[in-house]
Amino acid sequence: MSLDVLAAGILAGGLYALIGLGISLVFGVLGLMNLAHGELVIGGAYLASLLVVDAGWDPLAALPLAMAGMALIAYPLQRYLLTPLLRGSKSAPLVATFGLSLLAQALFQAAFGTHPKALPASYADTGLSVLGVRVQTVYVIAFGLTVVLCAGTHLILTRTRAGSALRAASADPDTAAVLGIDVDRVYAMTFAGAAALAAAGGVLTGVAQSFTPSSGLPLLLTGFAVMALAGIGSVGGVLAAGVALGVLQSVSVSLFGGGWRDVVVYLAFFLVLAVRPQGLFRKAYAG
Amino acid sequence: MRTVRPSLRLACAAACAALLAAGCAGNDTTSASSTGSTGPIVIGTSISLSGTTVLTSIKDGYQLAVDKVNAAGGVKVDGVKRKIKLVVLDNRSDTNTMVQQVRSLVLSDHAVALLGSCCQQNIDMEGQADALKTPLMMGALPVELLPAGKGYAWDSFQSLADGADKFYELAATASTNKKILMVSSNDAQGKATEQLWGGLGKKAGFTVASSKAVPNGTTDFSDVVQSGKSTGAQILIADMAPQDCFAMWKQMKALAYRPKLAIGLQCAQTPGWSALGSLGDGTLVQLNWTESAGLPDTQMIVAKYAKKYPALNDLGSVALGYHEAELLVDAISRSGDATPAAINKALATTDMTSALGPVKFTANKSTTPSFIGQWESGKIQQVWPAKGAVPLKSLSGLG
Amino acid sequence: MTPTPTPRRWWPAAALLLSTVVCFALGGVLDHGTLDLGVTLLCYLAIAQAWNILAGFGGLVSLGSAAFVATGGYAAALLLVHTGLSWPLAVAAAPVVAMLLALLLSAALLRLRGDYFSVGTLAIAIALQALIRNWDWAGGASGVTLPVDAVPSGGNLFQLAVIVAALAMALTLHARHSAFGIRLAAIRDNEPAAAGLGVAVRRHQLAALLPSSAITGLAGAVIAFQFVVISPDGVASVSWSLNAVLMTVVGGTGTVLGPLLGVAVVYYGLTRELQSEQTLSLVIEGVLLIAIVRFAPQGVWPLLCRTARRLLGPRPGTGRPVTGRGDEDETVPSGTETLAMDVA
Repeated sequence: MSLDVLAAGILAGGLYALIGLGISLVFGVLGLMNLAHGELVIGGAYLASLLVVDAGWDPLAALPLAMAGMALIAYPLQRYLLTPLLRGSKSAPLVATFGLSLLAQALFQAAFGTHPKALPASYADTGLSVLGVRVQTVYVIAFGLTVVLCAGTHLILTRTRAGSALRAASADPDTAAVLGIDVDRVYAMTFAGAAALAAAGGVLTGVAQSFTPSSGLPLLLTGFAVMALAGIGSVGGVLAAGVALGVLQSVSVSLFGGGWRDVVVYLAFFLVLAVRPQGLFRKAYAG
Repeated sequence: MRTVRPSLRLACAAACAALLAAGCAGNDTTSASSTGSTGPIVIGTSISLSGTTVLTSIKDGYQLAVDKVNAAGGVKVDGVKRKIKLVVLDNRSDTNTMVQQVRSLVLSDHAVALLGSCCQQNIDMEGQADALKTPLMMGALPVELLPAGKGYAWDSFQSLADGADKFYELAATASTNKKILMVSSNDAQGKATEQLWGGLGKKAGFTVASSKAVPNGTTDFSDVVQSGKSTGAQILIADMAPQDCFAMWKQMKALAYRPKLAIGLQCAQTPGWSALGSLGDGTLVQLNWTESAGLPDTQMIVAKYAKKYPALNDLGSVALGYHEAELLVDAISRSGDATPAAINKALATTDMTSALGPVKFTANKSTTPSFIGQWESGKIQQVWPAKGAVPLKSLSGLG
Repeated sequence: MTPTPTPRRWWPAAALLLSTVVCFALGGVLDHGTLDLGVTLLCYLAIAQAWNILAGFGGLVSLGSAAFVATGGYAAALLLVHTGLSWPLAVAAAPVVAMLLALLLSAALLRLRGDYFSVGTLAIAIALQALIRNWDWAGGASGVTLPVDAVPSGGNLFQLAVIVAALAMALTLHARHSAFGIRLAAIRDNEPAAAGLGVAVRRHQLAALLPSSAITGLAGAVIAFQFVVISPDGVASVSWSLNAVLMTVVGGTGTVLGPLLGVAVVYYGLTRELQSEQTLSLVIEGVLLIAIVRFAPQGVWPLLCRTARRLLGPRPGTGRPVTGRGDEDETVPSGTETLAMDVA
């Protein structure tokens, strides 16, 4: 395996981590398996496409707006639909998120058509050479941005009042409520934050690859894989798990060929779970 | 221990039995079989209209042919003119849904014949046609890929061999080192295409320097690009889903792999290819129809659908759907009694000229013409065969 | 309060037996379209019910149904194609192979707690699909075509599906009303407490996992017979896992009759009725799923029962308060409580 391929695997892992971070956050704090996470990612890409494709913005300039937009859409969804459901039963919110994912796909189809779209940018198809290793610029940007967003998330969780409220609500919502924490609001903020992170991943996916109304499912599975490797509730672990997934894919493709990639990746991922049921990189932030 | 009243238990037991019975009894209210009557003849299709593959243009072609027949009063069967009713179901690109829909079309809606979807789904659908003993007229599947079944599936489309030959003829006119990098998706169609195109390439004097299989949904192609660079392959043959090609084209450019010729089988077919901007320029694509080839009904198709589908390959898909439905309607009219068995027999003796040219079946297959097109500024133009073509341009997008 | 577990009653078993006999007899009279629809519904019912036993009663929320559907389907298909066994033997082999897979995986799977179990089972389903795609002896990506004349179809296939679904229902009744079921629910509700009371946690979970996998594998064999052509994109598709969850949750997790209603609502009511609507069908299905869990978070069946009870009202003279224990209108009662009473 050449260094180029290994480097590409590591960098692709940054994007995987960004996609996995939101899903892991929601799972860790709310205990909600969000089947619409892929659509949050794609939604970010479509929101950005309004500015990038139609108004000629640079995708990185559109990125904060796409993040804010998705957060604004996600907040009321959690506050008025999913949180009330979480009180009732464990699996009802799962079905609701599946329903949301179908709805979102229909919305994307109706609004943007079914042909693949991409976000054009100068760095989408240019490369960099570092010490003789050739890499794709957009993945370097994505990796850097992921590190920044992970660090930001970590700081918010550990250093702010909102973060401590979130950790309290995550550990024991009832006690947190008694202590005067508005758990509903904390949940909605968490979901909105996760949606914003997803949107960032979506914009970068749109630049590096392409997207269609039905691109959400593979992204969701990637997110699941990252979350399982990371262990729930650890931001640093998510980053490490994303990179591990990227490297694992590169290595398995080099050793066994592309056809066996998913067999190797998912079996490895299952074995890791079996050996370390709490995740490979768990360093708990919650509780 | 608290208990419930007996009446409620009884109610629940009754409900349980009723529900099971309801589940079993389902919909036995469907209309009687369409054979031996003067009512409409039902044909059906389970086609992918959402999800990863969207075939609205093929569906429009089906409807176009059916509307044309019905406007003329229907098809004459056993001396009586009967209308044709086309039932279209969207299988959302899902194999299980497709199987369930095909079965319900035949068994519940009493469709006497089926029209196909595309690609891998057509391969999966062939077995259903055999099991249900109902003729299935398909296109959008290279004829070599039609599985050898029990003779109920009919495929009239391009042949891989013909397409490959045309591509290699064209490639021979360009100056390359004749080394090929082959990338194909890890499914039945991908694997068969890889073998056939590879074999014919060798015959035509090319060498396959590297061949890579990739699962659908691959986003990191650095391994493929690396092998293209290290083997120095100047011809790229990619047979993948469109989204996958997008990621690969960007990555090739970024990692400075510069083939001199590139063809996207399946993947560059999408009109969304123009979303790649100038990066997509010069990429070759297989076409089953062009405006300039002088095929029948070209003007009618252009007049009706050029506005809805500005892209040449989409119009070609309308023509393909129209062609499939025309063949089926023709067989129904010659079947005598519009039963599945009779239609299947009639298909075997097809001898007509459709929107894709003359059609006759040999071993359930008939080959339609192949063309090679090239993307340039968001449009496709025919570059081979030379008749009706513009000159081949360089692969400027990746250069 | 009497310290006994929910007693076995004669009527649910009798109702099941009666409906099984009725449905079995219907196999001889219904038309082909209805029979085929019936097979589809009954297979979904078996898979949903198998999931219900594991998740609703055992608290093990699996996303791995697809792996066992695929195992059962492929086991039956490959036996038929490669060994020429008769179909009853192929059907019998399907649950055995599915159970073997479950047994093989259980050492790792049952170590996983809560949400990790879901993710682990999902990984298995995806890995198995990818494995089959690369496995040439099993037909690879293009799949296997079964010999049409050697497999049951029409009424016979329907009757086979009736038996499989009836087995699933019977197993659920057992989980609902037996002491085993009570102990399983105790583990679901509070594992340390149950273990403290002397319940062998792993053994009980395994005892739920194995029959659940067997039923799912059995349904997979029936699906293989129905589909005739099976491929990794079909029988190994993750959509089987998703459907099992959707149907059970919509109907009512942890109830005996909920999945029955869920299958009818989700497949017959939504998927099938909306299949010609295209984009609109996604909208309607999405909205309805959200509305159902919003207004009936415990499922449609418990909601119906509560409504029915409210309409009927308490009958004067019985004097006994009405509750869900032993009835089908609530999720399974807290197992720990009952078990504690039992032990006390």
